[in-house]
Amino acid sequence: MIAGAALGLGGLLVTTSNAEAHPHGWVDISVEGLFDAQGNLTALRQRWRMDPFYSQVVMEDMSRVAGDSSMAERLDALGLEIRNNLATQDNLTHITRDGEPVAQAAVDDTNTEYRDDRLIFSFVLPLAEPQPMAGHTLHYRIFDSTYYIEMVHEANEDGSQPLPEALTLDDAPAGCTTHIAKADPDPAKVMEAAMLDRTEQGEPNLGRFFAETGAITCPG
Amino acid sequence: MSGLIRSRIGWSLVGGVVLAGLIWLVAREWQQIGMQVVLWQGRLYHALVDAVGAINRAPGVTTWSVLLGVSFGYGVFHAAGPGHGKVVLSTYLASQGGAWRRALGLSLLASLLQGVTAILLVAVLVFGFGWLTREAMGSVQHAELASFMVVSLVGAWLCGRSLLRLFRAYRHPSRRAAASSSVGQVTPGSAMVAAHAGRAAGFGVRPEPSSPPAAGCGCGHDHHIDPQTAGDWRTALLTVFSIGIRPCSGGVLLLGAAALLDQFFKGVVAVMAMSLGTALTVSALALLSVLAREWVKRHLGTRAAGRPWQAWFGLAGGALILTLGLSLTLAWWQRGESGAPPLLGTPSIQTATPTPSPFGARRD
Repeated sequence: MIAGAALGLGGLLVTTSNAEAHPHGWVDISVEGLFDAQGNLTALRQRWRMDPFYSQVVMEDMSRVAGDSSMAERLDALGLEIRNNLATQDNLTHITRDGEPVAQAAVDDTNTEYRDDRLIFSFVLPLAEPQPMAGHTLHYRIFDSTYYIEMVHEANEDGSQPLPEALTLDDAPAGCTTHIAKADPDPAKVMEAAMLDRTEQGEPNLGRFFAETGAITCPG
Repeated sequence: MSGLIRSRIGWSLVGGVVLAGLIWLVAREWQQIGMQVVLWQGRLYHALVDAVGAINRAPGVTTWSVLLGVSFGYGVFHAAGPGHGKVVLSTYLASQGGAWRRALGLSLLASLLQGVTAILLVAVLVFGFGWLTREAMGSVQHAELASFMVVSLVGAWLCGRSLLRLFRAYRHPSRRAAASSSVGQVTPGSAMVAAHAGRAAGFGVRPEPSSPPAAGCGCGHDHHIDPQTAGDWRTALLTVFSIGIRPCSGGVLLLGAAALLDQFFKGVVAVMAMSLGTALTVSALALLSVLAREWVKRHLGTRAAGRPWQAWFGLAGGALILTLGLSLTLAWWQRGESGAPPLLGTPSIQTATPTPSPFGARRD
């Protein structure tokens, strides 16, 4: 009977097999909320620091690009390509204000550089409409839904606490505050998603469960 | 003699209780455990990258120990997640039989082979053919397909063999006992001792069947469901091969990144430490399968002496492995070639313009 159970367990594992449902790379993110003169939030400026392995692999690619373009030109071209790829997936950014989804405009002001062994991709993600913030809270979550890449705010040495610098505000009205909430996934839902998505979509969408939430709140 | 048997019964009881406790714990807490494993996998990956960076900056006893420790831990938890290799191996062991030493041996071989495959892949493709690390990582999906196909082959082979045994057993009822178990015809006490002999024999010698071997002459050795025959070793090695030819893309990434830092050798050592960690987890699962089988064997040992239950069991296991192999192969074809690591995009031919598409070409 136990052997039967072992076989049954095997069947259970089959439903989730072949999934590499854990991160094989990460990005350290920092975000800056940009305000206009009227106190509306207009954009989220983001900086993504790719992990050292990924950075190495991309730089190897860059060094082998044919032609006599300079490294800066190559990185610029890479940045445009990343931007175009991200555009098809809402830039991996999910924004809500008071629980209502907030639409995004096209990314601009991209910049790609290689510094201290890390590939750094920065961009400005404008909101489709400037969001009045007085008395409101805006939440955002940035994640790779497949969880192949872990997206985390810049954190302290052991990664336990996000740094205050990971979410800042520019030109914000007085009294606006920020907060980064760590992910607090429900194990039952995570495992349910791992099983369901495996069989029905062929891809485990675990990323959202492990995403941190950034919050910007302004007094009314 | 009876003392020996009594102590064996005692140990079996203890083992049964421990096993039941483990199963109960896992059944109750599996969601929590599963999520913790995912979280630890993420942390260990961070630690691994840090360790490679640290040893690159300052090679020494400390950085080496950290690298080896973290790699080992990464292997342990990497293997703790679901994966077809573990399903294949545990199903194989539960349904086809095998002593614990054999279970350990196969687990170790399969895990080490996975590490060696990753090393060879990077050595040949990156150093030999001058591929980009990104392209080498993309090639893991082809190794994956090969692995799924060999899994199907193992399943088909096991099914065929079991069917042949069943056919023979039912055609020649006198041989049922042989197909049932080499210890089926004897008294419970000596059966246990013989089973012990079979386990102790481990890799090599098979226990002498109680009937004279001459009874089976003329049709080879196949009608003994004896895990220690040469034919069985071929399937065992094929099973190991099916698992081992699929390297972990994390291992390939580690090797590639280490090579780019001119630290390929350190990457090799780390990947082998990782494989040992994987072996630890995989052997635990393999031992569980063997224990489960032994338990069933003891309970059916006397009652089912005349029935070829082992062959039926082998057939069920073979069918499960075949189904798994075929469904994975099918899923691979449906998914198509875009199964490259999403982070790095699909390998593409270099053109005058930069082609890498990080975050591009996802599998969705």
